[in-house]
Parts: sequence; C-alpha cells; structure tokens
Amino acid sequence: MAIVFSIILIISTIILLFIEPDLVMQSLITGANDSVTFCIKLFCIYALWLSILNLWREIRFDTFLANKLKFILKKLFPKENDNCYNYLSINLSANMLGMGSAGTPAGIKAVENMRIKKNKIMLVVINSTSIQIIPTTILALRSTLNSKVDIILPSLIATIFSTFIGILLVELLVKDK
Amino acid sequence: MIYIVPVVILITLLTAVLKKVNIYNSFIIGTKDSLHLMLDLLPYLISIFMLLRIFQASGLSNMLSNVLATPLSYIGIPKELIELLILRPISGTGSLTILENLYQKFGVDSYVSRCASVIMASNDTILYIVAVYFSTSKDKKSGLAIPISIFATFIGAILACILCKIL
Repeated sequence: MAIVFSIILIISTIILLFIEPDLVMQSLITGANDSVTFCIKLFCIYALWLSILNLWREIRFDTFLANKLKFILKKLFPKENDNCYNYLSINLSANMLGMGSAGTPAGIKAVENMRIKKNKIMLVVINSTSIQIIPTTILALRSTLNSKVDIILPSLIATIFSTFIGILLVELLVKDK
Repeated sequence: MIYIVPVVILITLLTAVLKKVNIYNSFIIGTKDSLHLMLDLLPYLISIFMLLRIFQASGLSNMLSNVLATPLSYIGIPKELIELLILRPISGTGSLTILENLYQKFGVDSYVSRCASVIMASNDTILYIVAVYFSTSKDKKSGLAIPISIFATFIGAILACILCKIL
C-alpha cells in the first residue's frame, strides 16, 4: 500500500510539474474534499448498518449464521475466536446477497477481532474478488437502460473463479503467523 | 431484488421486539460506533482520494492505459476496457462513471459493455477495502493482500472477456 501510494504520487507530481503545475495543489485538495463528502455519506450508511448489526448481535442472529457457516469459516480462517466468526459470517453472507454496505462494517469488526495476519489478508482478498451472487448495482443500472442480455451467469462464473484463485494464492504465498 | 434489504430489516426489527431488545438503544450505539469508525477511516480515505485525483489529473492513468493496451489486447481484453481495469481497484464511483460512459458509447448490450459489466460485478474496490479493513487493526501492514487481490481480479477479467464471447 505504502509503496504503491508513494510511486503514483511522485510520478504524478513530476508529470504535472511539467504540464500544469497549478494542478498539483488543486487536485490534492479536490481529492481531500471528495473524501470528506464521501465520508459523510459512509457515516450515514454505516450508522444504519452498525445499528442493525447491533440488533443482530442482540437477537443472536450472528451466532445463528456462524453456526451454519462454521465448517467453511474454520477452513478459511482457522484459529480465531467466536466473536470473530460471528462478524465474519455476517460479512460473507451480506456480500453474497449484494448488500456490501452492510458487510463492510462487519468486516472491519471481524478484522479488529482477528489474531492471525494471514486471516486478515484472506478476508481482504475474498472481499476484493467479490463473492456477490447477484450483482445488484450493475443489474439495476443495466435495466434502466433497457438491457436485453443477462450478465448474471458470466458474472457468477468470473466471480467464483477469481475468488478461488485468490484463496489459492493466499494459501500458497502467505505464511501462517 | 428491491425487497431483500427492507424485508431483512423488518424481520430483524420484529424479532428484536419479540426478544424484548431495546431497539432505540441499539441505534444510538450503532451511530456512535459509526462516528468512531469514521474518525479512524477519514485519514485513509483522504489519502486514497487525493491519490485518485492526482493520478487522473496528471494523465498518468491515461498513459498507463495506452501503454497496457497492446499487450492486453493479445490476451483478449479490448482496449476500451483498460481504463476501467485500472480504475476499478482504486475508485468505486470513478469506475461506475466509466461504465456508464461505455454504455452510452457502445450500447448496453454490446460486447464491450457486457465485458465491462461482468468486470464491474466480479470485482470490488481493492484499495478501499484494504485501507478500511486495516484502519482499525493494530498491525497496519497489509502484506500481500493488494498484489494477490489485483492478480486474482485480473484473471477474473480475462475470464469475463472470454465468457462474454461464448455465452
């Protein structure tokens, strides 16, 4: 992360120095501005979902889900505590249903409760390669434009395949610590 | 599809009532959690958004797509999709804008648009996920998380382009 950040930032600044020096300051500040707007939006979304997440914990819906998913969870994320598995089960099921905004706060809480670095990387990779069964946002966008062709099947195959590759690479390359 | 979220919320609320949970309290605590989370997140988001802006403003993202266009066309990825491929891991809204532009330019059911849809649907904003998930963790080093995610989603993109041709 740190390396990618520095490299892109330095190269971009050098390029702008030659073509449009004003833009260095301007684009960085616009970026900061964007992020604050985005953060306010996120705050509202997470306020709702963290509240619902609290309710799920109170009615023990998270333990119910974790029990159903225990086999997969223990395989993918070994040696973690129950609290972590509860959050993980919510994160994974929300993502599968295309409710990513509900899944992310649960994912953050899961990482907070994780002891093993490899498991954190595994969760990031599984979330990055997206495990959505139904890509709700894209489908909604396509239907407003009167799309006739379905993309659910290719999306599903591509998602399963990339997630599988991701899991495999984490298992092979990341050392257990 | 539009019923999933409201029904899930309704069932949650009704069960909470049955189990005599204080719903009002849960919402107050949830919002407080969200506030703390935002304080942890904001610095990470600011750096990503700054990076995104300067990346596009400097033309570096364009240059990168031009350089990558030829080698990637050999493995079956159309050149119109390169910019989307580069921006998808960095920015959710940015890549959605590109997708909409592709829909307008080529039509929603064209080969390019279908590939783009599948790529959008089968990937997520990697940098954002890494930043957010590691923001509250004590150990901030994400290790191989970014390279593995990018490689896996890239393989997914190649597969997406093949699938759209045959399906």
